[in-house]
Amino acid sequence: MIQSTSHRQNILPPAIGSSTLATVENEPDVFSEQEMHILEVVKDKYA
Amino acid sequence: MKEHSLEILKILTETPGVSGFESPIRKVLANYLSPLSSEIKTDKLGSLVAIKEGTSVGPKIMLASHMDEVGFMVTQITGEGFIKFQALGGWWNQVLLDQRLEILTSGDRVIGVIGAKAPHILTSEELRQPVKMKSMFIDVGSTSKEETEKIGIKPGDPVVPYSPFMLCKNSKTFMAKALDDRAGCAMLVELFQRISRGEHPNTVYGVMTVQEEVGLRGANTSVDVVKPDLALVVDVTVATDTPGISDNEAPTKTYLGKGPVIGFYDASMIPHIPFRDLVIKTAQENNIPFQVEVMAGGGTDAGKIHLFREGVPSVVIGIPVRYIHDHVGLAHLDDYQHAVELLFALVKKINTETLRELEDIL
Repeated sequence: MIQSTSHRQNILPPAIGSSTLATVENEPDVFSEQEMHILEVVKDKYA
Repeated sequence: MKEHSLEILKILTETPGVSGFESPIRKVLANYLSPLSSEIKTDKLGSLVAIKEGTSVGPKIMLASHMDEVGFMVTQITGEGFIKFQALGGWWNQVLLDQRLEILTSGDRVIGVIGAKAPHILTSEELRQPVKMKSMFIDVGSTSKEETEKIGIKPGDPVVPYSPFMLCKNSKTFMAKALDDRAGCAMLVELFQRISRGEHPNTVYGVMTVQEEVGLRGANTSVDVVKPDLALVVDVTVATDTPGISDNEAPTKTYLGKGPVIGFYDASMIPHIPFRDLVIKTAQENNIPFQVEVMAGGGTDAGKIHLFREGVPSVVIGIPVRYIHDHVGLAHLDDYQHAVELLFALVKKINTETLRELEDIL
């Protein structure tokens, strides 16, 4: 649930111009050791 | 059954995925849904669409929950090594101070804490005001900018609350981060597990949208992939059973443990009335407890979905959660399981005849 649709300007992040910013395209896929284990369990259980 | 639900909820709430950075949670959801679906795909922004064909191609029912959670993004590292941040989604200043967070760098995850000036050194005027978010910073224990950079932190890194899943002493209420809306995603996973074992007279599109918390953006694009006849949006809502909430603030109170909530009004949508009444009738026929809600603020993906093309009859079904958009939310397992039952009953019931009746509003 979005917090408020009548104050959208407070919800949307402002544009930030910086060449050092990560983008969605190079978003890191960081999984903890525990989550890597969970991924394997989920695969085994439901595949 | 209870353990099964708790396992899914734990996995989905502890996996990170703030708005715009949903890749980790998308992978987990895809792993769950791939073996249960006829087809699985994404739209070009990253919303996940799992298709389960039933005994009839139509009607096409879109069941949508959003996979993103509210969080933050690193914007700047100060000369002393502190981290300034941008909120992704709606956060209230007062719930932030002294909370632990995880920064997801391109290498490790780094735990930090949100800091601000200590009250001992504030002026009397500052002491009377809540601390503003722009005055806060994340402290990872560094003593210089170089040290923070060496850890691997850089502007653009996503940041999530650090908040492990926990079952309360009553064995029914659970607390976790990101219940908004991983609880909804978990319900859709359990729904797919149920419908994969039987028949249903329609085609179900389980859609896990991205970027709901920053403006219902994933719903805007994923609805075009589905082109649904009907939509059920599965999201959480504010539990108003906590102290100090007046009837004016919450004209329809919602309580933990009293059943799933059917939305009658929010700032983004008034539901399609015949469809809303069908949902209520289905709950009554199946002895599923439910609550109704009128909320002046807030909104869900249904706000975008119901306006697609010539309109999509839509209803919001959710569960009440205390302290949404916070590091820890609380929800009740009975509400969750009853919501799954209600969704299952609806998917078993809705066929071409139902759709014809719903569309005949003249």
